[in-house]
Amino acid sequence: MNTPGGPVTDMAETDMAETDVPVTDVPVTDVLMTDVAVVGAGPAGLAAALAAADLGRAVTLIDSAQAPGGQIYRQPLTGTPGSAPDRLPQRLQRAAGHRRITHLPATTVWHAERDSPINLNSNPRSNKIHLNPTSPTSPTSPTSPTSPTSPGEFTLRLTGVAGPADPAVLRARAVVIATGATELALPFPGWDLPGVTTAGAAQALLKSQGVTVGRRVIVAGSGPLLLPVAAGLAEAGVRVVAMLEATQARAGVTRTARLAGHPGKLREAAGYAATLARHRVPVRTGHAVVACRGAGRVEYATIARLGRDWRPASGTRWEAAVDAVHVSFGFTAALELPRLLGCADAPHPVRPVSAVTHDAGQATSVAGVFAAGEVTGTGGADVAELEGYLAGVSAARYLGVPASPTLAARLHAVTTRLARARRFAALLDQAYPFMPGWLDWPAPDTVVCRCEETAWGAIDQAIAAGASSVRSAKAMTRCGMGYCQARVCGPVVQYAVAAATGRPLAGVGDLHARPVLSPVTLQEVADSG
Amino acid sequence: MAADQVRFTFDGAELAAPRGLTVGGALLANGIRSWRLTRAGGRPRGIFCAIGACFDCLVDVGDDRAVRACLVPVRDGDAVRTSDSRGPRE
Repeated sequence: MNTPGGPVTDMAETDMAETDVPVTDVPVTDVLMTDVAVVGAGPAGLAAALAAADLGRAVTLIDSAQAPGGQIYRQPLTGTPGSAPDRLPQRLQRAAGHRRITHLPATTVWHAERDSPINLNSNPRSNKIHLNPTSPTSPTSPTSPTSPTSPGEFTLRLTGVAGPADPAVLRARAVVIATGATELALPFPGWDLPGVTTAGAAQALLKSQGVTVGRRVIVAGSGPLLLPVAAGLAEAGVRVVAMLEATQARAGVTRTARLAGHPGKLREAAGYAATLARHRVPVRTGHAVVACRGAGRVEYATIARLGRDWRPASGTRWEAAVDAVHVSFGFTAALELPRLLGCADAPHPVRPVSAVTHDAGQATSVAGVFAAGEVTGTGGADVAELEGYLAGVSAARYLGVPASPTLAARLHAVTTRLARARRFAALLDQAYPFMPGWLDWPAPDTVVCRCEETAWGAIDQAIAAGASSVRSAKAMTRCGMGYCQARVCGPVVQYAVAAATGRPLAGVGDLHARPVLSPVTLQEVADSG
Repeated sequence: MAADQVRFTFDGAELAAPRGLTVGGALLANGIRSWRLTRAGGRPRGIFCAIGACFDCLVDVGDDRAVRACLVPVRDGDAVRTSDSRGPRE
């Protein structure tokens, strides 16, 4: 991949020189121009970047990690080879050497604007926020505002994970959002003790760094992620005391997989199950960790048998000595960037999560913005990569790449494979139903918003006092107002308010990150123009 | 000290970790689970999501205040300190 600072970034200097504004007024900002900005370098983002770059478009790939691959293909940092299913496939590794792909690692988008030089008046709801509307730093004020290929349709403001980014501003004519998802974690007493992490955290630390959180652990929650996490930890020498799946009929998963004719997926699951059996890891369905305790870190986990609705059955609790607990209840799409750009999304019928809506070519409701992967709903790596390809092609087509018989044939083949992959994802979604009984797990003093330390009881009080939407609960309790911007507690509070008020999930609103998306210094804001 | 090791300090204590780890990974590799106290309750916090989303793992590194330990690579000579939780990178 190219590194920033090459000929493309020289545009900024050239164009600033062309303005009549005194040089002293020009903020110190490096601006990178690109055709397609791809945000997220997991399978969706990598496939999108490759598709658009192969069709001749200049692509800039932004990712918060040091190495491409996303969470699923997390690359080892220390030279430890990843296990075979996790290694970045050759076809995606090609992005690393592509001359039209510029990779910006360890970088996040803290703000995004739709400049819309063409249709400014037709988009009154544009999320455009001009920090400095008359800024001369817009490096290429479009010379032909009516041209459908005018540059600078979108401005992405960037920051590094440990300081300012270079470049700090990316101007793109199209955007592919492949920001993925974060894990859905449900609160219980002690879930904020050190040593309690998401299951994905345990997997990420192990895959990329060979680090384990504990030596004697429980993996608990619901969903297909638990198996590989528990198996991976057992293989790494961690004593997995138990793997607890809250959903009762685990056999249903294998049955649906077989019925759907996905033998590859079935073999993968069987492989993890064999690993757990070899390491004598007990796998219990219909159970959960419902409390943790310890002095300054988790030392004991309370395990409960659950009813079908996930309510703990009475008299069936016991404690296990552990030094880590890894929990996961599925995924929630990272909607901050699509919402900022005005892309429509839709709620899941039973889970407190939403996903970006899109057409068959992955185009969102906003012209020039495409979405692929988990941000469009939980689908797994296969769906993500296929959607990424479609999004990359669509972005290139949007920027004027003509249709061709070859491209049409490829699109047809990918669309067919995608339909099949989505059928499997839908079966998995149904195989792990999200049940309301977890509402009985937290105690009144359980911290539900980990940032603002809002207690579960405070949410209850807010609802009793009349809060009938998550926004009113937020206003009354400060939940969701902290560093993470409700990325963790948003779905929890949404579900709690909906359950307590008897309203549908979609009827109580939700909490998602709003500008500024990531902490930045005031200097970075000032410099960004 | 082997060349593939990074030397750093945590609250003054000298530690080492394999090169290439994040600050959070390096602390966990040394058996350290928490490196922040919450603002209101003074509750200890460490890694929770490990992918930069939850901000639980904020830590002070050198002159950088409250960076995400799960994202920032550990470097030779880093002075890592328990975060006082007043806010990210002020």
